[in-house]
Amino acid sequence: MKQNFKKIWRIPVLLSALILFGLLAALLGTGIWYWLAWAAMLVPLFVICLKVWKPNSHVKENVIKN
Amino acid sequence: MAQLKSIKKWFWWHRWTSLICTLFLLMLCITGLPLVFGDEIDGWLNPTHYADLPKDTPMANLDGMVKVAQTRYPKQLVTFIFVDDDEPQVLVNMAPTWNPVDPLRHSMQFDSRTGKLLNDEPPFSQQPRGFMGTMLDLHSGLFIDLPGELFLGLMGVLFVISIISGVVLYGPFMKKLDFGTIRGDKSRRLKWLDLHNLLGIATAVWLLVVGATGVMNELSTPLFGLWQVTDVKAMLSKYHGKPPVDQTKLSSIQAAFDTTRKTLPGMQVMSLVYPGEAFGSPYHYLIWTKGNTPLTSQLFSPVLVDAKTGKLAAVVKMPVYLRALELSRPLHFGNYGGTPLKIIWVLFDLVAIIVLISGVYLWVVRRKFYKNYFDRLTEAELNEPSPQTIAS
Repeated sequence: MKQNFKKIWRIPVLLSALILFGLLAALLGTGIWYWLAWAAMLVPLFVICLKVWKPNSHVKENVIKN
Repeated sequence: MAQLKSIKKWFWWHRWTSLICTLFLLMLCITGLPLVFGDEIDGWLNPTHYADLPKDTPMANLDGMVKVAQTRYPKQLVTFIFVDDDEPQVLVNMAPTWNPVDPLRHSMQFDSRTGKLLNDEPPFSQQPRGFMGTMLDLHSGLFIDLPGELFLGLMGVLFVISIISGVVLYGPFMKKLDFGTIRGDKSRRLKWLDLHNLLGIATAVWLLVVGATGVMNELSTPLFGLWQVTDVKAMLSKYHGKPPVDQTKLSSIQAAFDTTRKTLPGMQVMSLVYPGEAFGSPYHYLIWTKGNTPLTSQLFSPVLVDAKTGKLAAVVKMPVYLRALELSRPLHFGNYGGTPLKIIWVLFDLVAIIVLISGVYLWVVRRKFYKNYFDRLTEAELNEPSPQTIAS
């Protein structure tokens, strides 16, 4: 159960943390912090593109059948 | 079974809060797109050509500009002065009365370095709203100001609840799926459901922050009103009963500006509100200042300067709820981290639009589909009585 919880939430939590970091870094700093903020906030968008345009080619066996 | 019941409850919340707010949220997302680049589009649609002067040219005297304004409109009141930090302009605002919705309220644009009148604009109520104005009025209050603001604020609350319930539902939904799985080959509904979940969860924090700060911004009128009848009223209680200062007996506005700069050297003056104007003091110039660091430039500190004697009366401490409101502005507008952040804002906004549309689509095709989904969940719970790990 715990393992499953980790598996489900690992990436969402990571992406959320990156967005939160980006929002605050640009608010609290300038210069390098702007760049870090932009980079961090682009990650979730990049991940979305990756998943949308390159859907799992090797679907794992635990995908439920519909 | 308890878990299934709880999922169904969350699902009910997710469905209904989303459905009620979706239409308005779609409008907000679409009008929000040009608003992210509002300043740029405005400057491009209505360009002002300023005299070419060295960057460090000092500011011209405010008293001179006010005099020009008063000579043009001797029977009118100066309501407030706006000092732009972006462009070299000073806007002197005037009106025949203190009525905050006087249809003759108008503004005169001066070059802040030469003090020359650049543009004597027609009253705000007679100006065509323009593209950006239309977008902003629709986005912030559905063209009906306060009632519209409060209504959209309520829609924002529903949106926040729908995001939270959506995040809660994400867990059980993904039990047997890898992150980002999009089952494109199975059915159109499944594909859109997976897409809805992926886009929603990947942008959840942005959606939450922009949603919650949007609600906060819609509350700005009541919050400033609250401040006016509590803190401001208390601060002005010692003047109670004294007649308001007549506009012909005012001390120099430039002197008030200089006093403020001297008292708060790290601060920048944004606007000077004349005594008599709503959300101000009948006896003082209310001078709004902001800091110079990234964070403090978002935090405004008002200063009161006695309008008769020109002496500094108080540096006002802002209550927590107005500080929160001030921080809600940049976090909603996305205008605090350069052009790339604005582009990122637009991209997230586009993702939000897809989440909304896919949500509506999933509702339209719902019945059979969710019956199957819940049947499957029930079956899964019955088949898995003990905690198990998924081999991956």
